[in-house]
Amino acid sequence: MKKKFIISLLFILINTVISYSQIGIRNTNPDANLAVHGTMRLEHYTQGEGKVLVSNATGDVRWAAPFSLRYVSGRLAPAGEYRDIVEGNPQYTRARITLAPGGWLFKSIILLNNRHGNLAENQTVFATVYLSDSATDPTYSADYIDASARDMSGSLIGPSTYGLIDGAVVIRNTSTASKTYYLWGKLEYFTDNSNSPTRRAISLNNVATDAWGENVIYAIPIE
Amino acid sequence: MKKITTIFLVAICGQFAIAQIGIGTVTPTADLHIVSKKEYIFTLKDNNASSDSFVLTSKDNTDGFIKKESTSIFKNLKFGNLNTGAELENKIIPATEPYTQNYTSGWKIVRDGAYIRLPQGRWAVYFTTLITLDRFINTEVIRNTAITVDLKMTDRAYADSPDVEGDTQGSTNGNAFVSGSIIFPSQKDIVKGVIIINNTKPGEGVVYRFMSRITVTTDSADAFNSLKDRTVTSILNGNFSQNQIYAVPLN
Repeated sequence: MKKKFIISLLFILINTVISYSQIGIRNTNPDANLAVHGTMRLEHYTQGEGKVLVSNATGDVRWAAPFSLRYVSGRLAPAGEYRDIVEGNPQYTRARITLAPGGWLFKSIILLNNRHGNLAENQTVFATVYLSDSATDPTYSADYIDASARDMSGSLIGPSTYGLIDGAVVIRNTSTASKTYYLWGKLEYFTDNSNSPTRRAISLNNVATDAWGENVIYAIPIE
Repeated sequence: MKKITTIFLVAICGQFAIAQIGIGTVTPTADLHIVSKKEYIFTLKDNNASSDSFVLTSKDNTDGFIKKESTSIFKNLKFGNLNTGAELENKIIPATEPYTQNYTSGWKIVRDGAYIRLPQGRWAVYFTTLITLDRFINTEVIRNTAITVDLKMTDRAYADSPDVEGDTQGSTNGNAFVSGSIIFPSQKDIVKGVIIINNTKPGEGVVYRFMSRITVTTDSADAFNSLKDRTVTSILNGNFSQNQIYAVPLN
């Protein structure tokens, strides 16, 4: 009974000391609630080389890996494996990316160029790439999050030789394994009602292949 | 009992600032040595706004104060809402407007459904939207015509917000708006860009909305007049698959 009383008393005292005082360690004039003049060692099962102290919303602190962007590169289609994108049904570009479970900000920069020469001044192409779960089924991936765009689009406007798609979408791989996403392409074609100048046949050349230095597909993990 | 006594003595020693302190250890090997088997090592509360995954950093190189700071750039992404309205409220060109080679509308409201709510802090707001004519025009007269769409962010009441960095004339620290063009004979294209928002207000977050203006550049009076009864649809409209709004927290 006496022992219990002492323990209770000590608890009260400890709480009082810790809750209502500033503490200085090797510091007689603490100017913060805890002022350490010297070294600090925090042993915890989260410790590790290069880790930093991270706080949550209520101020609880533990060790964690410092934040740094991971960058996962996709695979562009090698020259020779590509398919041109033409008007009509979407086409698998042969570019793809494999992503671990979790959320991803996927980005694509894709050069647009017409195989049959520069478009005439009365021709434009609005090209789109998007992600599918399949190399053979053009359906949009089921993993787009609701708030995300689906299509990444850009224009090739005659008589310019080149156009560019520069887009981003957000997907979440909710499975427990890495998953491959396939980049599909499609286009819309615009012209006016004149036959002059003569229009070019339209077939986008080397979409998402390694033939163009501008092309890249990659993803950055998000929460 | 022995352990508790140790903690007590250690705490008392700390009060007098004369020794090393061990918490959870009786043999400290640093001036402050904590050994914790709990989920967290210690708790650090302050009066500053905080959110998950803040990192403890040194305030500067003089006094060693520790502060909490967000360095987790691609955590806490915020996504905006898209609107479901059919079009901008107004026609591209008012019916009474005389032909001019370069006509610019006033700023018009992008319908209320398009907004993003951002908590206190600095944010890079990325937005992408399709711009497309409500009806296709297929005629020669539209050659040499372009429609440029500018988009800017405003406060909830569609007034210019001081939170938009660079939203002043001659500003060197940011952009007031982002732009894209439909160049004929194309009937659609993309507007995309980034605007930096610095929300200094604590609380549930501030709602930011969007406004748009349109510039028509054309050599043809016929093309100009043919655009008078048309609108640019799809601006930040959720029915179009190119559209999205998201924000990345900045330090």
